[in-house]
Amino acid sequence: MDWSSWWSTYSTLVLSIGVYGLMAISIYITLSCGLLSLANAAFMGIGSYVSAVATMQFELPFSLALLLGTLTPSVVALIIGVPVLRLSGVYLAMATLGFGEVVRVVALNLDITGGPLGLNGIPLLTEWWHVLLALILVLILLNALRHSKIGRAFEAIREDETAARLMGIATHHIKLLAFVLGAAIAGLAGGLNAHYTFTLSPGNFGFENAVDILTMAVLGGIQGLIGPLLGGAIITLLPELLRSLEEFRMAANGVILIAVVLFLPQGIWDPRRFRRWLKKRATHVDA
Amino acid sequence: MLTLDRVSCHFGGVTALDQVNLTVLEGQVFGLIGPNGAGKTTVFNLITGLFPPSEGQLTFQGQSLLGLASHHIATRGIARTFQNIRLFSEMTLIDNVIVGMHTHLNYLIWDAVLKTPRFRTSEREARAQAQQLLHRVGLGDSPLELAGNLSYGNQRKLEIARALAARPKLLLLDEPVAGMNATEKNTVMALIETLHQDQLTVFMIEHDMRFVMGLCDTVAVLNFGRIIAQGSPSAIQSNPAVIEAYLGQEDT
Repeated sequence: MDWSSWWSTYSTLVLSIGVYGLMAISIYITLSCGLLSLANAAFMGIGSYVSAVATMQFELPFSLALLLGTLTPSVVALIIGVPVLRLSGVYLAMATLGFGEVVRVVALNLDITGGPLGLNGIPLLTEWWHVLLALILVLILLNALRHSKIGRAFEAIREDETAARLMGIATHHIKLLAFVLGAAIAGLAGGLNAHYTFTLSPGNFGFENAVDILTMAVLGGIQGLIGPLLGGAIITLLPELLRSLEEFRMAANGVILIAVVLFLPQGIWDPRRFRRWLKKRATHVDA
Repeated sequence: MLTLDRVSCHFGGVTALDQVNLTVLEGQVFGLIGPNGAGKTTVFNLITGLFPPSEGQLTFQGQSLLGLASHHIATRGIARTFQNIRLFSEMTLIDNVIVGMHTHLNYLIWDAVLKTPRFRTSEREARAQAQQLLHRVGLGDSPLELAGNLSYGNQRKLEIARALAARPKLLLLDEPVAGMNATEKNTVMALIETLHQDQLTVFMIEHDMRFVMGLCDTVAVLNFGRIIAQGSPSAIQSNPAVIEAYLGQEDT
């Protein structure tokens, strides 16, 4: 099989790996700050619709459409974040899931989003390097934040919010920052996604998608940026790799996930476990 | 420097603090003692704004602390440690201390993203200062160890280093030597003496009488939410009300 036919078969899959890598990173940001927020699928949906409407109806250039697709969910996150982030744990999860339902129902009933039929014939503008560039920029940004006072504040809040606040950290501002940043990245991923899938429908951004995104981050591991990327790739590829199992493939998918969570509770990418393995091996060699 | 004026605190029907008056003067090492459940930690929680008093006034350097959020109180110059240690246990020792410096790192997000000179200098200085603080409390040898792996005594020392990193004017120590052996107690005692020499005001809650009597210039005794005595360590030791409420039950 030559390159161009391989690409025409698998380009959607390759781009999806990148886009869902971004989605897993977007939820990793809030998780790293101790927030169990399940709104990212909805933010992705907002980003998808806004950017698709921008290119289809207003004929804006793709770059501007992506920018709008990134900014709109960020503004929404800023508005709902103030009341919602007073909650924590499962209550925050419930509230953000509820927000996701609201977004889905709104998309289902508006004319501009095409109602239940969704949007069709979205121009195919996303090139492979757009996704790659978005990933690289997001990784550079987050890596810089991780090694600054912001990243340390995220970690401190996750470990002990009260202690963090008493160290002078404005915890509610930092949590809001994490929430908005996650929404921006999810919106960007949505904008890129809309312009290679050709169609959008409200069902794409519901409960199932929200849980899938969480699964990616948890499966990959949230000790760093590599884990979510890996998790995004695995969850995207698994159904394709298990295609030969036909109707059993979703069941096999589930079994694999349970096995990973049981035996690798910190996720697949866990630098601490790797270090332990190395140590063990070193001591074996010494003995 | 710090004044509690007729401060009361009720939780439902329980009165944790009843009309408490306390004054901590600048440069003092002030001790608060009392039996378990007397309400000592509640005093610290009120000062640091974790919850508001039911009535009364709290002032720090002439300004009221009422209605201020905890992180604002911290930036005013009050840092604390915790009775039930609250370190960031999955973070390294040095990162724990640098979190304490959070409000003194005044670069913006963009400085971090673009790695500007301002970001590099302040991060480098923070790291150097944190290392010095670790040395000061005797933990300078393994700055990259995880805080959760430290012994109990060393965790308490790390909490002191983290609190000092905020460059406080008033340091609140909640049972700084609980669970420590005699040697560790002596090093913490020497540390607090050097802090006192550096003019830092220290307000501590402690059960260890030798420790309190050796360090503090003023001691207040809290029993069932009320201050029953206040004065110099020697006066407190011979106060009959205190002996009855507290010291009499101990083998001193």
